[in-house]
Amino acid sequence: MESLLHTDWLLMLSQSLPLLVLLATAVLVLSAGLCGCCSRTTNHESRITIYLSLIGIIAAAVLVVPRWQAATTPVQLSLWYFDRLAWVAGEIILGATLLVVLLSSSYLRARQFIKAEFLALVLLGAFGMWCMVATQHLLMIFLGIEILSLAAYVLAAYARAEPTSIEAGLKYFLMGSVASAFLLFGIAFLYGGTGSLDLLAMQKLNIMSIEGAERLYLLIGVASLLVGMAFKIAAVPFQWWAPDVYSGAPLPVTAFFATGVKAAAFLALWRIAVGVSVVTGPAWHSLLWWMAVSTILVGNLAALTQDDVKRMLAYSSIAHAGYALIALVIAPSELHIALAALLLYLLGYTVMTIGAFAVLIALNPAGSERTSLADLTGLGVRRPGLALLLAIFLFSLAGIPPTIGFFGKYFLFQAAVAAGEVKLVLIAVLGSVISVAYYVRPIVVMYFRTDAAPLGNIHPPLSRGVRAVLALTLLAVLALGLFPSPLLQWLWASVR
Amino acid sequence: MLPWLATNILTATIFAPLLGVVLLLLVPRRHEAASREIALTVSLVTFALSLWLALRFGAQSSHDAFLLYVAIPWIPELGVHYRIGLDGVSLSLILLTTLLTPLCVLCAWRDIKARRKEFMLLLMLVEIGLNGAFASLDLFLFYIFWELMLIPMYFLVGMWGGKQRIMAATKLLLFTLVGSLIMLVAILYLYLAGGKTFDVMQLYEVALPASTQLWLFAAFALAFAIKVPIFPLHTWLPDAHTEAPTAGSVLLAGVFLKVGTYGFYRFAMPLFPAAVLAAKPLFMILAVVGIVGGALVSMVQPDVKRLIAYSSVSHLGFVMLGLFALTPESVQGAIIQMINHGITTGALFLMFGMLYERTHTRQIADYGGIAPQIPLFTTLFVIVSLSSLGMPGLNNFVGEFLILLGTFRTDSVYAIIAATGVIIAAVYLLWMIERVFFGAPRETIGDGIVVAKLKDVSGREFALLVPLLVLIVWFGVYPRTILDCTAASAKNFISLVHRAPWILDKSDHESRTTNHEAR
Repeated sequence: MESLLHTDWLLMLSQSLPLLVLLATAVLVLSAGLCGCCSRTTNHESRITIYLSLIGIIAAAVLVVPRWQAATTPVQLSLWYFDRLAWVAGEIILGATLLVVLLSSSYLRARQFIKAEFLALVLLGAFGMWCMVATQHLLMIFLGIEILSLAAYVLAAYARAEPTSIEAGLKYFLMGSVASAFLLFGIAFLYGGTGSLDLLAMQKLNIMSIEGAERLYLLIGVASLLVGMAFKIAAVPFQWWAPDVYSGAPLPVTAFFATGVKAAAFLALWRIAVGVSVVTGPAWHSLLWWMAVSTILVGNLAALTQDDVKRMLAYSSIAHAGYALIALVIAPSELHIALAALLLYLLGYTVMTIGAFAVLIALNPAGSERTSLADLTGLGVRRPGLALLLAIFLFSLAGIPPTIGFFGKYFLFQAAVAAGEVKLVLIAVLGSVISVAYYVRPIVVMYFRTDAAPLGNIHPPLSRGVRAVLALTLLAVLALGLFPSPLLQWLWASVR
Repeated sequence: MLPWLATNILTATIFAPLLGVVLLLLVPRRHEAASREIALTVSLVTFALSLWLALRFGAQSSHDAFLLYVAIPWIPELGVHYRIGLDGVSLSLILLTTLLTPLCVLCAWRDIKARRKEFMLLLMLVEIGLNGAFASLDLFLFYIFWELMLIPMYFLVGMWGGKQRIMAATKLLLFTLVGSLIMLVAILYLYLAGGKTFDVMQLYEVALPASTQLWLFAAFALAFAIKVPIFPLHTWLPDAHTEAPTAGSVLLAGVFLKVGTYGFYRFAMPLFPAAVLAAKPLFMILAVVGIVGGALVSMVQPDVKRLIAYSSVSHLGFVMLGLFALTPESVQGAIIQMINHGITTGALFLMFGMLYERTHTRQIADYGGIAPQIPLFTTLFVIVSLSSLGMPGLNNFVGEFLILLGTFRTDSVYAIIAATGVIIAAVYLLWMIERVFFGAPRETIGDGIVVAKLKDVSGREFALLVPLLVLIVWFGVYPRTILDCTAASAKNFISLVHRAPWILDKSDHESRTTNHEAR
């Protein structure tokens, strides 16, 4: 109780304002939806919820800016921990959420899904993600994960009429619960081993002082924690749920899972990894090394045989998680560069993946989703604009210059080579070559199989939200691919 | 505008086709036919700019360093600069590119009927990639251009190619990417080991341990060897060349492959001199195997385009032989051979493209006895073939002769074996000509094409071939045009590769110095 009295509540309020704005927006959107429900679901109501969400997200993003500038020294307020990483992560999460909200508008309307609840869940999920990163406390990380996961389970099953969506929701729920159990288990043991839940305190521990049973608790705790987080980021060998969940969930939700959720989980894992690396030593390193290698190879090889673009992107998301794990592998030797590389990679991955999903959403304006390769046949002739966009996003995912995807990989590989992980980089490069083989499959059917193109019918114009997302992601992929300097400077300033 | 152009002429030449890209994007689909005129105009403007570039280059007095050098920070955080400059070799290759591109546009004039706009757009992009790669003096920049030329070429083959185009395009893409991604890792490593710079001139002066050099050289050499292609990494080439549309084949054979040999010349060999001396025997053997093997395989091809494709493997084997023999004559020969192969093989693909437009068959067996019907075409084709097989007085002879001469001085066995490649070249080309153009007259050829209705060379086609024919004769009779331009570059190259005595064992070093004195 005493600590509550000593807390500077005003400072806490002013620091965590962006997060609170996000939370408040979620509540507002939900209540606006409730009011709308009383007067039947109308277009008017749904538009209000969309605008409310957008305003809330943008307001939060704007509020972050002065806090980022002021955060040259981290601010710790009870469970919160606001350093520049927390704010940058916030911007990435908010950006992904913004794009997903823009994408979901027309998707939901055409399928007559209830909007307010969907948006509220997305916002709540974003709040949870941010909580995961804006802290150095294991309990807070767990709370954030749970807030996010509860929203995510419902979102995965949002297309109630589709059996695959129900399956996705159920699978995600079961797997997520197992992962949470592991996390909690790990946190408990870690507490038993170190007597603390604070990652900053763990960094300062002297490894030699922990012996006997406590050392065992510590190792069990770290191992369980890693298993739990590996579930969340879908790293091999805990990736089995991801393809089903990703391909079953509605398209905007999958985009959300693959980008924002994954980015947040990675950054939380980063916090944990930095926190416990002092006490774990080389075993942790080689564990992550093998996890990165197997995730890259399994993700890429499994993606080769997928005939559905959405499912292929799910596997590609596993593979990309493997690349991002490289940053964690090299964290002990190149802390700052590794973090900058991780952030750049996650940012790039978020932008190009949402772009690719936006094209798929544009191709599926209504009804059941059709995302198989065969559905893309001759797209280069039928819808040249969308085909070109998809091609650019796929090439970016494959890491072909001059795109953000290339720079993300490049920066990461450079950091890894600087850290002496040449073998790891060579394997990652091999994985990239494999990945090109499946990323070009949609391109082949879009552009090279035009003879078998089904006759084009009249297409409804793209909704404003989808168009905005396509424009934004394209701009980001190419502009940041050609001139990454400002972004690099920003990230560089954020990690020191 | 003009003074700006004069000072930034190299940048302007590289990016002039970008103007075409923008204009082509603006062309509405229903006026698609106009895309040809746009592409032609832009590519001619680019050619004019490159001629101006050559003038400015020639006006510079010293030819020792890189001329028209520009260095602007691009991504300073990563040490990447927009760093370009020319020596005689890169200038010649840029001129070759800018010359072949308008010819490709012209040859695609009627050949390409579907999606012309995209075709021309991709051609322009390839041109940017090629010119940029030849001018780059920054490894990172080079890598960007290197990839930039690959993707449009992938689409050119995949969208407008023959029946097996998807397989051919995928092979082209994956083969090249395997090499280039491994090269990327090597570039990264070199950047970190060489003092955090991508500047080629600074990296030339870095002394890396021999074992590191070997690994890095292996990575670079793999990427370039796939592109050249050196036996046994050549298997993508026959498919890509055969399936590509004519304009694609011309660019592929004419300049695309040269990026590989140029990569050896500019990067792989001067950057890692110790590794070059260690790997020399291997590459000499592979080059000779490529020369003889490519020629032998060429001989048995039933498909004309495949035959020409395999002949490229053989001819580029000569270039590699010349580069690795490391004598002034052989290196000069290799450089000239790069240019001449581009001209001659480009012309061969162009001419066969014209024939294919008329007959729609690539099989040698489908032809026969068409010479009387199209005498002018036959004559021109024979001249180009003679140039390709190295007849004295025509361009290819000069390069091959210099390469063999230079190689003979130091590694006579290789030279003798390689010389048989020249003989076999005569066999496969002349035999092909005999079966395609001469022999018993036929009523119809191929899929019921009436021989009597075949048209001889049209005005457009003739205009297209004239520049190449002129060059074939000119460089055959008066090779000093290129020799003078590239002599300093060749000298620089040799001194760069020979700059590494600290890792040679003593006897080797001594024999090398005596060699120098003997000259």
